[in-house]
Amino acid sequence: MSQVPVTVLTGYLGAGKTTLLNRILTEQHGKKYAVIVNEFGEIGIDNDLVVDTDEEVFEMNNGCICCTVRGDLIRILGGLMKRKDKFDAILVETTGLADPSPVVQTFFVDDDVKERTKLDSITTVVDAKHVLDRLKDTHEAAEQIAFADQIILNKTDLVSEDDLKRVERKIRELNPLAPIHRTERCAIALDKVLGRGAFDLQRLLDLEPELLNPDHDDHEHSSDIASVSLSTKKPLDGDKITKWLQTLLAERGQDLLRAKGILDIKDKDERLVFQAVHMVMDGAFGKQWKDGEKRFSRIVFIGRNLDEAELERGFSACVA
Amino acid sequence: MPKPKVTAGQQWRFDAPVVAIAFDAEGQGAFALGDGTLRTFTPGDAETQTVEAHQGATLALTAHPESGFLSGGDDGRLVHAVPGEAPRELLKVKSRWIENIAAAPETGLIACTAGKSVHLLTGDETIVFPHATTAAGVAFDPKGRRLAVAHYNGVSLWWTKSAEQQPKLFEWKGSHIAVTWSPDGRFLVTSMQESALHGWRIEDGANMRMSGYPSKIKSMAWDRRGRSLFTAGADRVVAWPFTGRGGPMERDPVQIGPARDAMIQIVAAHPEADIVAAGTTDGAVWFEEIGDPGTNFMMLNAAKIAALAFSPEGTHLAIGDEEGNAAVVPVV
Repeated sequence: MSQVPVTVLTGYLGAGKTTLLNRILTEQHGKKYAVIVNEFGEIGIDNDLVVDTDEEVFEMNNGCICCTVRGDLIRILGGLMKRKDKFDAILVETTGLADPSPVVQTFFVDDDVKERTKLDSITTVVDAKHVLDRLKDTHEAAEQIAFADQIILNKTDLVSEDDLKRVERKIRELNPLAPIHRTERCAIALDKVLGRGAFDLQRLLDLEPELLNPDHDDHEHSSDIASVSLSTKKPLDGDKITKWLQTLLAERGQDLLRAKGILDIKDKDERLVFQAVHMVMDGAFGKQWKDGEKRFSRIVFIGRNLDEAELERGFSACVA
Repeated sequence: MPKPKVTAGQQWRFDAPVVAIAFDAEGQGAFALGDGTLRTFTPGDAETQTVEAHQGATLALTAHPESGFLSGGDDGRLVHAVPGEAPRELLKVKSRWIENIAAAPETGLIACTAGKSVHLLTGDETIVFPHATTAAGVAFDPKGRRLAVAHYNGVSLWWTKSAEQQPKLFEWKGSHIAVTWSPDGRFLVTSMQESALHGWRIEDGANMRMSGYPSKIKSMAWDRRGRSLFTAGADRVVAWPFTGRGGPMERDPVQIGPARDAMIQIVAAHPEADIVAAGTTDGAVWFEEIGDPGTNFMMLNAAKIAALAFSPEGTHLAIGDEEGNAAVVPVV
């Protein structure tokens, strides 16, 4: 059974999510989309389906992990799968103030959702003019950026190039991995937004954080979210690294927003690739290392109050 | 185990998933489909009649208290469909889906969920009962005078007489996604997101937790005497005892049917004999008499069984799957 890709659209109030949705839906794409929104705005195109919902976040105690999920999404996705017409993709718009964790975790913990759909990306729309202020007075704005697989930096026409660079530096502190697309009025090609496969482990071939372990003393820091990148050229012990990651996620999962890693495991010809959202981790052996290829291991953590030295120690102890 | 295909009875291949099956009081059957239609049939006949009930998908189906069917859809409509007549809209809500319907033949009342609200149709008026979170399941008590609504953190009980009331709340932390009332009216059981059942004894609110399932319990059915609750969610049918004052408290369930490498999706109880039927994730359907080791086993197709229903006298079993395969087989 094929899985329908789901793009989660986050962004602070007024950043341009609705504009982006309208652009996506009005483009001549010949595809059929379902859009799950929180309020019927000026959305609704002939061939597509718009579903109105109330975000219902609840705690789910699933054996050893306890996390929050979106109950309404579980129900709506289940209902959509009963339709005769199948969708090419589903877009979920979250409210401006939403923490992205519950919506993302929904795709990892509910068996029915996992079977029928797959998360394609978390796409965050950022208002270039106001984001620095929002980062000062809210914590959701930082979380939405930290969670993103890609960022649409919108309203670039309203700020100077210098200001844009400042904004991009700030975004990079929170999230060194997500590509940033600069837009005016959210004008961006559809294929840049959809079909990213950001959660597809087999597409995780390289991790090149743009800003490596920035200086945490920056006075502009308004949130405690930052990233830590760890790497080594020495092969890792498979058991040790797995155990370390599991323990880390179990103990620090609340503070770890996202993690991605490509690992060179001793005596293995394939890369071990993984990614995690809070306490939920997904890992698999990926592409083979080529003969003569320079093998490496790299992990990028994005989270709150990360202790770089402690992470570095734990990681180093996993060298085979 | 050999895998006999369905041979007896009638078979159809619809071009939309089967969502639900029901039989009305007169013995007519209906398949509710993901294309918004109902396909009504008479057991034994190869003909079906199409009722255009909804614009999107049909999401819920149950027998009308008098005749015909009640269906709900993602177009926000509650429809009364009588075979051979034009469907009649009973209710329409804006931008919400009608996902659950309950009907009480004893009082003629009809209730359905729409988002956080439950709409009670008395025939004269529509009473709306609000909840803090989505109403995920609805069931009448056996007398048709009280309504149980499953939602996040428990179940609300409403009297069907008036709109002006505070519901009685049975609380249990977590997301309750379906509810059923025991036929003697003494117990309520909900299915939970966390792959467990929760129960309450109505008289004192005593809690009972029924857990150990490997997957969500999507279907529950009471045996004809109300002595056991058959449940899906495991590789065999799990039957909880509801005799005695405590029901399943401190008692173990009984497992019924062949253990196979597939999960039970749907269960149904025969109305006149001690027979339970089950449909699985790999397209198998079986029914078996309790205590009799023989199982009537058949494969419909390879898709998940989505719905099962016995005809009112138990002469036929209707089957439907997520790919639109459907059958009505004689029960012998």
